[in-house]
Amino acid sequence: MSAAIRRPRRRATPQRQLAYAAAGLITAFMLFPLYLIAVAALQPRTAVFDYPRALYPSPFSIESMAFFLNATGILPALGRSLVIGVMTVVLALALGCPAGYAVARYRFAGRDLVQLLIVSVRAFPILILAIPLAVTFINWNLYDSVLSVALVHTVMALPLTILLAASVFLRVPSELEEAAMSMGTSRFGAVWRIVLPLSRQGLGAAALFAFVLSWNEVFAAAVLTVRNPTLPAQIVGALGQSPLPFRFAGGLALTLPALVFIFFMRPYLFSAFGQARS
Amino acid sequence: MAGITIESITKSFAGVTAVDNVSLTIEDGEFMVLLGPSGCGKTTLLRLIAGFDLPDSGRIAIGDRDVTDSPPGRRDIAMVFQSYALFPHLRVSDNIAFGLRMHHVGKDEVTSRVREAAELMGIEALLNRYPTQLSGGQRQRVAVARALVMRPSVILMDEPLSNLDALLRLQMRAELKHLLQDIKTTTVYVTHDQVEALSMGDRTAVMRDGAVLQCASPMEVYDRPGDIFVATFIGNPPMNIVRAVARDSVVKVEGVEVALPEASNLPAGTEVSIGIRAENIEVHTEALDGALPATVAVIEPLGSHLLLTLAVGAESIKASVRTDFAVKRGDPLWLELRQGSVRLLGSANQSGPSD
Amino acid sequence: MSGQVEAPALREAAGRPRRAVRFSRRQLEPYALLAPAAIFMTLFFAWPAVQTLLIAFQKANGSWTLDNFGAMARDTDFRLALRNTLLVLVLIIPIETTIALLMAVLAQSRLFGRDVMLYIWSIPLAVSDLAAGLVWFSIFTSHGYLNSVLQDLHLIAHPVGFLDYNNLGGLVTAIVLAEVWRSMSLVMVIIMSGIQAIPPELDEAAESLGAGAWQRFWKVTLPLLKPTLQVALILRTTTAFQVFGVVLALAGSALPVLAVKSESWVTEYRNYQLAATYAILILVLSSLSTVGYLLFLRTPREVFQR
Repeated sequence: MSAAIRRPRRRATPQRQLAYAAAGLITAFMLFPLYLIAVAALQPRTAVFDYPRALYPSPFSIESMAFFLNATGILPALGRSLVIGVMTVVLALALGCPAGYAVARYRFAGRDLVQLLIVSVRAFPILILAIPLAVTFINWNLYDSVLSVALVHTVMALPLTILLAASVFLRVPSELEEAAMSMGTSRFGAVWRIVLPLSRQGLGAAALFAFVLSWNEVFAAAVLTVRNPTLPAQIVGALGQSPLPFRFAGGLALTLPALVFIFFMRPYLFSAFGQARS
Repeated sequence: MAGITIESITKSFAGVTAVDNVSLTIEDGEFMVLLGPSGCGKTTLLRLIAGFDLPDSGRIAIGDRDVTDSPPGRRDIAMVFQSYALFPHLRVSDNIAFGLRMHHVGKDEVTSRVREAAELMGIEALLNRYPTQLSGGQRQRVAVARALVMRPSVILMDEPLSNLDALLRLQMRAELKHLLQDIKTTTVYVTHDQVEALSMGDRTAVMRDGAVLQCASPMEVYDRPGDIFVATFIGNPPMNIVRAVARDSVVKVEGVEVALPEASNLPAGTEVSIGIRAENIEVHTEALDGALPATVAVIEPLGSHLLLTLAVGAESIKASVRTDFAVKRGDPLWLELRQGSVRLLGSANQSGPSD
Repeated sequence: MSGQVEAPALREAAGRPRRAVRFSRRQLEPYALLAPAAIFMTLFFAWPAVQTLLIAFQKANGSWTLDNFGAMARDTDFRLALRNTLLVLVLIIPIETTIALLMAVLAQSRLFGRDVMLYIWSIPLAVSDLAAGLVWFSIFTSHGYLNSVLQDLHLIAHPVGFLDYNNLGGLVTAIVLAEVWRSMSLVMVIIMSGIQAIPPELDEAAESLGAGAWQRFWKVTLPLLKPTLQVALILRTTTAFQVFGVVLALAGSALPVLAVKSESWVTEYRNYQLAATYAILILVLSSLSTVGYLLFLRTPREVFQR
């Protein structure tokens, strides 16, 4: 019963073994499909027609990947995806940082309403916007353009960006800003010289979240483009008539960046997807 | 160099009045301490002087300049924060130089003034470090240096010593006082520590519930507290408060007559409270004319003296005696209240400190 | 105001209506900061949302009508699309919530290799639904890994057409697995943030009172997680009603769902009215589910007041 006798809890009790088993099983379930798509995509093009299939790449080859990248429209689509991603990041940060700062630093009437709106926009079926926007963009001569997709992606990324920016700014004590202001800067100067340098990492993560969202988005990109699709929209459009190696290589090409993205996003997952708390 | 004039300042947050119609004049070069329990409004008052918050009504002037609406950077003030608020991404030297650069001071002058301030605080060796590489005491010195380098009209300090451990706090207290006496800059110093207030300030403003209860020199506040709250908030142990019945310049405590230092014009028979400090009670082992009979309830040896808690009728009184005073629990003693040290503190049903 | 005028040193400024000035500067700042985002969201979110509603009630020439809803109901695959969407959703949500709860609890206990494990478990957060569909396509396609393994084990003689037109069970299983695989990370992260907000003393108190791990989970953790679960379920259910990329990658047109119908009415037939009507249906269904969660997972306000 004494505190000293608590140590054996660390040892492998049946409960702990069960926990390890469950964790191992889930990890396998997470990893195995990733492994398989890599194997499928890193085989010679002809190997995909072998049956039964080998569970390891034999022989290893980047032929499928090369075939995929050289397929009509893939490289331009990849370029557009990158451009749209960067535009989304710039727009979302430009609009989201001031709003996030307002939520983090001010007590004002309607603050709760703003937070409620941010949450409800995320739970709103975004698909509903694409159709009238398609009509609007046709009228504005923006249809089938990089900007039109970036605008819709910004709509989707903005609530998250505001939330993340607010949580990042909250981590900078307001006393630092006050100290700078007492030494002669304006509030804007204090933000520029003190808050932003200290928030660089967090805002970088917010930018990454916006980029990933844009990189992954299919529906709006498919509805708003015809001849100038993004990478996912191009793949969706080609799915019907594309051979297996194209699909496998496409699957890997879309998945691989996630490994890198998540590595840098990890410290901010809770502020991004956790419950909004003020 | 400038004094501060505060006139009828009121500030409330979400319906709670933090500072309630406070007026205060701080002389040029004076060291003013704002003292009070947490939530009394002392920090809000300091932030109003600094300009971080703006008052709902009333005005503030520094020197002969009305700064009520000025932003903090245009008030010629420098602030030392409780958390020090050092910029973590700037080296110590850049932290100290920050304000000078904001005021477009020339490069050479920045270097020499930073050097000078660092030498004053004894932190020349730390100039190239980042704040995270410093101890609490070193951070505190940097924070003070960053304020002094501005040569401001007014230095504002918000509980600057409260994040230091006890020993360091004692040392910094003396050092800060020495420093600020040399510089002769008007200083407003917020603390909840009555020892800091007594030892450092030229004057102490005791605050409670957003109002200044008494503003006077430390000894005045200690010896002649304005009301029961001040009497019990300041001093350790707090001043003894005893019920009594007034009669001319005399009050009756538990049937014994005690003389007041000044004549009261209370109608005879009024219930009043009187205050007396523990060190102003003479303790006798034998009955004495005009002394209060008491019984020893608790004996606390405090090193330099013994603190006795004594039962006098229904009242409890604390008195301090020399350590060689032979006494044990339950002993009868007689208390003589020293001439001229008894304070009349108003009618008996006023309350003591609430927190 | 009268007291200020008497102050001789401050006389010059006393006449100004200072109060009003303070109001305008400080109190307008947050709104000015929010304005760009608000204007943007009005233009590209609120306005199109209203437009969708209007389009759904209009003919192609702009006159008002309810015909679109009739046309949607008569659409060849409408019933199938509705059934499939609901079927997939009803399977996905409970499965992924249960596994995600388990994952969150496991991630909280101090297992060896926890950091690597959490990294792996988070990867699908950055994987799109289309990519997830393609990943699982490599497993379920007729000459894919699942058939290969089954044949190697001599459990089957010929490849099974899991993703064939008429194999509803196979299609739904594949879609549910892919969607669960992709989105349970998100649910896990939401639940973990909820668990971390529960003071550990509560768990320790229950333990000191003799509750076992299982009892602590059911009697302490889970009830306190209710608001968190509510958020996760609302978010996931509304997105599950829009299931799109996974379906396209795994089933193509073999398994019609609402979002795919809406998209094809735009891209293939340029029929914005019908597309908008489908979108409105999805909005109504997700709103109903949200209201349902709010009603059935209600926690008395007082419980979480401090």
